[in-house]
Amino acid sequence: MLFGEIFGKLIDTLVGGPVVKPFPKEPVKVPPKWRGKPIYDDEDCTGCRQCERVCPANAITIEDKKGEFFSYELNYGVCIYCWYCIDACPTKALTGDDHSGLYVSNDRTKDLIKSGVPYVECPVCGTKVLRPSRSIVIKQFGKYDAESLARASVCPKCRREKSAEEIDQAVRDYLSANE
Amino acid sequence: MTVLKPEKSLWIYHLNTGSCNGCDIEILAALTPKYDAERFGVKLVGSPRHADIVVATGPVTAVAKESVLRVLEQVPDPKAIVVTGVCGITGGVFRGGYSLAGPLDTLVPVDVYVLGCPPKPEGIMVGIIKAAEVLELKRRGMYTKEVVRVSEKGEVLDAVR
Ligand code: SF4
Ligand code: SF4
Ligand code: SF4
Repeated sequence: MLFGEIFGKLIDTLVGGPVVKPFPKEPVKVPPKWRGKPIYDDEDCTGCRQCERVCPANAITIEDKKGEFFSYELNYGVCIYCWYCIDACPTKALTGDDHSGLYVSNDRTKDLIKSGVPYVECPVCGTKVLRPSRSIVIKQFGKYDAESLARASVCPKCRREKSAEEIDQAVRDYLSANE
Repeated sequence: MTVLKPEKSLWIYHLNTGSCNGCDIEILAALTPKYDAERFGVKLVGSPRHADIVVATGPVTAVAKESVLRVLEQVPDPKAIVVTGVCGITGGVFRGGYSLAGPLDTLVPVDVYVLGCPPKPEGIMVGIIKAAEVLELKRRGMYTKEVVRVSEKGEVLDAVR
């Protein structure tokens, strides 16, 4: 029994090579569905704050002063790489690094993302609205350029109260004024 | 890929300052035959007086603070301190707890941070390789944080001056 086990291991090693992983001669291989750093893309963010709510380690800090600024901070020194935020994000503004597992640094104060979404003006009435998310603009208009962005940033109040022609005219005026 | 060769074998001392044991298991995994950090001459020692590198895990709890400082004082200079896991870096999941005496780098200078909760054994190995360079630079008396050139993946980016 014991002899057979030893012999089996020997055969395994002779056939399959040594068990020692050849790191750092070869780059590290991570298993499938490996979870690394979450990466934030401010163009896709809608400011829904779901990621901040679900984060178990409170690694995400969002400060939202309506009409002025929306700041986003993700601290990798706190993050436990659970990807809850990625599952919660409705617009895929957060994506995960699934091929690297090595995060080593000399300075902990640099291991964070500091970003944010700017507030833009509604082209009809001029109220400040959060810049629309890229994926939502593309879903609505099929493209992501100045015109579709301006059309998507019409505020909810104007959408409710103004007619389609008025909005169309206002957006066109806004675009020509900004050219 | 070349790895900076330290002058002597690296003897590491594993210091648990109140961690959840996740990182400690990963450090042991880095020393087992599968990852085999002993290929680089890394050896786990039982006494801080024999160590070159201290691999610390965990946020420093209020109870452990005294002993941690006493242990770190016993390590001969030059020494390099590696913090493993996010709870040693900022407090991580324990951040803001009533029983914490702050992350380790508020008490003593820390040279290398390995991120992850817990990090991969390869990450810990890179941390130790990086600490080897820190140690070598400290021996030559020209260590600052900017001089360390071992990359995130364990490669040497630039020759040491
Ligand atoms: S991966 Fe987990 S810990 Fe990290 S930011 Fe996302 S939710 Fe928070
Ligand atoms: S990153 Fe995603 S979940 Fe977080 S606020 Fe932006 S859209 Fe919402
Ligand atoms: S970093 Fe995470 S796994 Fe490591 S000791 Fe702290 S809580 Fe445990």
